[in-house]
Amino acid sequence: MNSIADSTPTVIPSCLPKTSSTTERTEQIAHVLETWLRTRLETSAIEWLAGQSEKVSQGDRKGLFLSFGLVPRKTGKSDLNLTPEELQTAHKVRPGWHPEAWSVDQAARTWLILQWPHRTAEELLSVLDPLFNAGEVRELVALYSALPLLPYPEAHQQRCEEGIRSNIRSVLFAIVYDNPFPAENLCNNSWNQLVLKTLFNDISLSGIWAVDQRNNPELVDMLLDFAEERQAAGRQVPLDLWRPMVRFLNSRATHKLQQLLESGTPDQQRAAFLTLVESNSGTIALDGPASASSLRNEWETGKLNWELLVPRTVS
Amino acid sequence: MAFIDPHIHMVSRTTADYEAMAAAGVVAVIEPAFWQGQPRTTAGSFQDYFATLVGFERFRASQFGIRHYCTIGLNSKEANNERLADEVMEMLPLYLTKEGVVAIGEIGFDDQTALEEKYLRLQLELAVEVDLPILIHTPHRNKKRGTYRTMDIIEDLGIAPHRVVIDHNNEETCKEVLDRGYWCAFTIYPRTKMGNERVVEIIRQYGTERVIIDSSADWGVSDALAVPKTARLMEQAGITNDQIEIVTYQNALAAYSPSGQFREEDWLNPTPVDQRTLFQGNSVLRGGQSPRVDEAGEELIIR
Repeated sequence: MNSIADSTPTVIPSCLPKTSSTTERTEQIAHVLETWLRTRLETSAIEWLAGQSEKVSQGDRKGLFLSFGLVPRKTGKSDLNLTPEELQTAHKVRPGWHPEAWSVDQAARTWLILQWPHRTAEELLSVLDPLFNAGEVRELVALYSALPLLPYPEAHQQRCEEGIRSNIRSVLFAIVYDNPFPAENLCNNSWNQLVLKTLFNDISLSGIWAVDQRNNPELVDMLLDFAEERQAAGRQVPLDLWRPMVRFLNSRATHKLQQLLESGTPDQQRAAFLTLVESNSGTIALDGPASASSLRNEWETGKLNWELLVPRTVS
Repeated sequence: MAFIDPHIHMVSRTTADYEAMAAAGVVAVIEPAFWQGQPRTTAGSFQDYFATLVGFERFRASQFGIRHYCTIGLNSKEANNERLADEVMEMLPLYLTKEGVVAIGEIGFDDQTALEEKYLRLQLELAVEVDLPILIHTPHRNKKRGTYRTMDIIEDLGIAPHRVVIDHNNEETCKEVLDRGYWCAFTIYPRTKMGNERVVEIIRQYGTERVIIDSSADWGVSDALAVPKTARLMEQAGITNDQIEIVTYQNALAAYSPSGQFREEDWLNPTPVDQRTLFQGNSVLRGGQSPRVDEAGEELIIR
């Protein structure tokens, strides 16, 4: 069982705009998506989408299910290729929203969902659940990427947890990468599963939104166990396994990091150094090894950080 | 040589089969929705099965360099459970527009009951409504009559034969199927359906026009490499490479491409967006790479 502290999601307060309600925000997001689609799609596709949205906004379930499936046939599947200004708008409307890698069909599908009329979470879930349950791969990618754009975030928590269990790599990417929903809404236990699952699948932590904000003591123990399991099996330990230990180092972790700093490969030394120095707890120990001063130099001149050491995984 | 197996039930097969198929040159497969060895008791079982066909199975195949497509439909055996059949019929529109769904199928007759005919007709009408090709399963028992009866119904509804693949043909049914203008598929399946030595003779006699070879490999004693093995046997029998390509690749492509969901570019030249979300492998055999069926100890003949 989770403790009381665990069951309350550690929402990162600065991420959520306090001025607008989620419904207002949903409308803004829908408007932004529509603008992007209008500037990219051919007239026939825009007209088709407008017709479908008309049906959807009147609560036509079959209309939503059919059009959601048909979208790529009408819009194509090319990248959205958003301009820096458009990306900025995305960020302003929904902090943490990173549609850099979105495609046109994905945007259109999200837009259609946002047209569904609802007064309660249940009314929204009455169409979301069937779409998730019947989703093919691209649809699931679109649906999971859309979670942070939907109202009633508490209603999508379980769905997000289910997605983390997915074995379809592109679906997993849609949840763990560039998606603010997990960091904002998951309790520690689910968050820790997400981090472990990401490492387990050899995906770098660098694409996880707010990855450094959700560190917690339980995660440190889980990661140390995972590192030992890998070592016992003669397998490699991911370099960024240590990253979520920052600020929560215990003696077991510090001991391991000191070992790495003294006898690891150059990159393992870098990872250990970063963890210790960012934890503000390794200052004394860092004075020991001869290489520490050069690592400190790399770090102070901006040549050493997690993104450079373990770059984002390209699916 | 590159092959399409346009009828195979991969949910019943292991990943080792995918690896062997990719090594033997199979670039794309079509998985028709069918029964699973025993009757399902709830509509939810169908829902999850369909979801697997358009979801995880597509992904699993793509990891081994094979493009996975499917057909969605209510099979004839389970059409005899009327309550369940109605629930499945209601579910079909949710799946027919999914990416990678290339036809409605496999539908047709099993015991040739009134209920089977009812749901065959309803699904044929649905295929017209959503503008999809049709894959017909012909019965094992009373085959000739069931095959002819199916074609009569299709024609009764005014559906053009070139929109329809009739599968599991044999020496007794193929002439009529070809004469009436349908795609005529042969399932190379040990003991119950068609052997590949027999199909070589059929191709000698009837030619390659509208003829399609598939494996229908499933949970039974069957062979996921039936298409590449049959191609090799045809080669040994002196059938030209062009003709082999027609029956093991081109005709399947032509039969299912009207769906708009079955394109050569998908596996020859996937778009970057597509590669990012789905396709990981490059299934096209590179020059000099020998197909798996060449390996010593592989039995070429399927009886």
